[in-house]
Amino acid sequence: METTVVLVDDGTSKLPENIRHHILSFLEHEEAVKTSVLSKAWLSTWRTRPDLQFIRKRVVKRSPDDTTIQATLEKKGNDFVNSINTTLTRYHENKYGIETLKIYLPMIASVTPDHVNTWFQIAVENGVKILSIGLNNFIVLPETVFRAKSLVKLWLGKFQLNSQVIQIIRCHGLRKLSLIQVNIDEVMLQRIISSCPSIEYLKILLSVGFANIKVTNLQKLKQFKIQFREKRSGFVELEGPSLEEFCYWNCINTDEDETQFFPCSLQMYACKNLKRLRLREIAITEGFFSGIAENFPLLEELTVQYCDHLQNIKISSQSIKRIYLDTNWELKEACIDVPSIVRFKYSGDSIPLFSFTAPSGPCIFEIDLQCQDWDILEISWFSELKELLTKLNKSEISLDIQFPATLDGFTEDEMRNNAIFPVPQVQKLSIGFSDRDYLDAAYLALDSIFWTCRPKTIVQSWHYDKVLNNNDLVKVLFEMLMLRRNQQQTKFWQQELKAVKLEMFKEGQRVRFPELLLDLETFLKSMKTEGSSSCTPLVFDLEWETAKQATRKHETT
Amino acid sequence: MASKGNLTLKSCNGKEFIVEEKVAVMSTTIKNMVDVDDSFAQGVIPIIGVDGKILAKLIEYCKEHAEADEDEEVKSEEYLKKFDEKFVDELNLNDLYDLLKASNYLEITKLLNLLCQKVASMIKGKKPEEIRRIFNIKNDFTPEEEEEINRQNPWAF
Repeated sequence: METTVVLVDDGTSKLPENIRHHILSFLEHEEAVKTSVLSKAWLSTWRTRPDLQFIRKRVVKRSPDDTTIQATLEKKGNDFVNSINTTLTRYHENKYGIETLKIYLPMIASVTPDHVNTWFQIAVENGVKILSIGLNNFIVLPETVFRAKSLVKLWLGKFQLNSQVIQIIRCHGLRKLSLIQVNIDEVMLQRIISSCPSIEYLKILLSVGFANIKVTNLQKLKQFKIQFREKRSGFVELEGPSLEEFCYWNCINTDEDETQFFPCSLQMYACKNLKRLRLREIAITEGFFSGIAENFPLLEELTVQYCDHLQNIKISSQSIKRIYLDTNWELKEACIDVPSIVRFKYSGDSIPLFSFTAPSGPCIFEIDLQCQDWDILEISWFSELKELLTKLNKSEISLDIQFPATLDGFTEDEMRNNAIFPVPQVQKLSIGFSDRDYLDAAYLALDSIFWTCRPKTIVQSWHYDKVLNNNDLVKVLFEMLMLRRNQQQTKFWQQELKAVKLEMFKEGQRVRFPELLLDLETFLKSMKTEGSSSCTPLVFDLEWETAKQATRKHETT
Repeated sequence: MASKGNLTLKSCNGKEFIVEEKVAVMSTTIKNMVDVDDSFAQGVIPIIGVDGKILAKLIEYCKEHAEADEDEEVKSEEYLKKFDEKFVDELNLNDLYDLLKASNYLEITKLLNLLCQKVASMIKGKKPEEIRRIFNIKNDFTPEEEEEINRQNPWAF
């Protein structure tokens, strides 16, 4: 047998070193380490790589009083810190260029200010462009970092930035700045902003030490995200001719004492290029909404969460495509004059009076009603819901309701008297109960739901039932829909329900429920054999009489 | 002699290629030569260390990736992605190395990225021994040296 062997030289070792560095840059750190053992040429490439990464975030499960494990971990941590020192010293001595230095040590407490100072000094001297450091303990950031003229991206986690320490800033070319969980005083913050005019991305998350921030000289700023950890009153003043995305989150008021209000005001000028705006717990006024079209003519996405004290809002815009309103306040009226809308989501515990300009194309409406904390849900609530759904009837509606344990029941007469035809359709309905004991309420709730709308599919919104391991809702749905048995004597909606298919999610796929189901016992048993409990996502697929048929029927009776 | 708007590139083994200027200046090195010295734009540009076969390959790549003229249709990203895939898949190892060196020297950044990514994808998920076999890399460490590296692993470099 003859075999031809074509011998190719080891071409990789003959490539210029910068090409092998470039190849390493396309590999994850763990993959790149492996190349160091291939050959001397590859080892040399690894040892001179310009992108340095030292990350140790493994969480080890241990009992706190196990001192031996504790000691081993500490030693390993110290070894790791020493390895950073050794490597960087080698880079320093040989003057190898450093493009990127990433150090992330959230588990190691033994890092000292001296370590950090040395690392930064070497990185800066060797021309670092991307610097990213997150530590376990708050260390006062040395001035060195901001002296790096070459710096393009800077990410700092858990540092203290002090205006007394950092006087000189030379990284005028900085484009991306992220400050995560830092303690920074107001003077320092303003000093950075005014010294780094090239910043395009600015992120200040969960940081403390300042109340106000003024961002008015960053002509290139494209994205600005600011999130507060502690309750504070203060202002954000923002002028951003290039700004495309702005997120401003205040910490959510979780205190019982809600009388204490922390106003966080916002002033925005010249943000004509803004496309995404997300606000949470900010003291904006009704006037802010009426100025949207003029102030943000390109705005596409608007998210407003927990902005208290707004009663009436009017949003009028030709550009907005997506609106997300998340309220825990008494929003009374909302006028949405946004014809380009494609997605609208409302979450809250009450139903404001909405008015919508008809969307110019298909739009998905998500209505998420969190009523679990109500003492009792009255009939009038369902009337309000029905009115809202009727307004949206030409669009795709997805409805999610969390019910309280007590509901006000309907009488058949009341239902007939309050009826609106045709009953609005809903593509997807998710329902859930917060209370452990809600069996009676479930019958009432479903009855009222069918009076209110015609859902095409019903799924169980599982968050509470899963925790409580409760099957009640599934039982009620099965009885009412599959067996057509109803505790209430309201046959009202049942005549219009033509067919019900029961499906379930199995490995992410919707499949028919496997057995022919005749009674509740068999059903519950087969749910068990399917390896499922209350958390199995079941889907009830409902086929209703067409609106026309239904209306005709009601007219003749 | 190239007509206006065209440049003549000459490989190290004497092969000449007439290409549109917009194709040639995909190479930052050539662009700088033309920008600095007008005589290059008139005459022949020698491409040192790149033979005719590799130069032809480079030109094939640059032609596809050069920006479309006004009267031409802009190529879709999807089309270019497919072209790139086919381009690197058809290369044997020697051509891959030669192209890496040539695109590095000529500073054709897009191509250099593509080729380095190709090599990285051949390394990914494989054991050192497999990687050595694929690229015919000779393990030139002494057993003592190898032991030393393994001792320093995983992070003490």
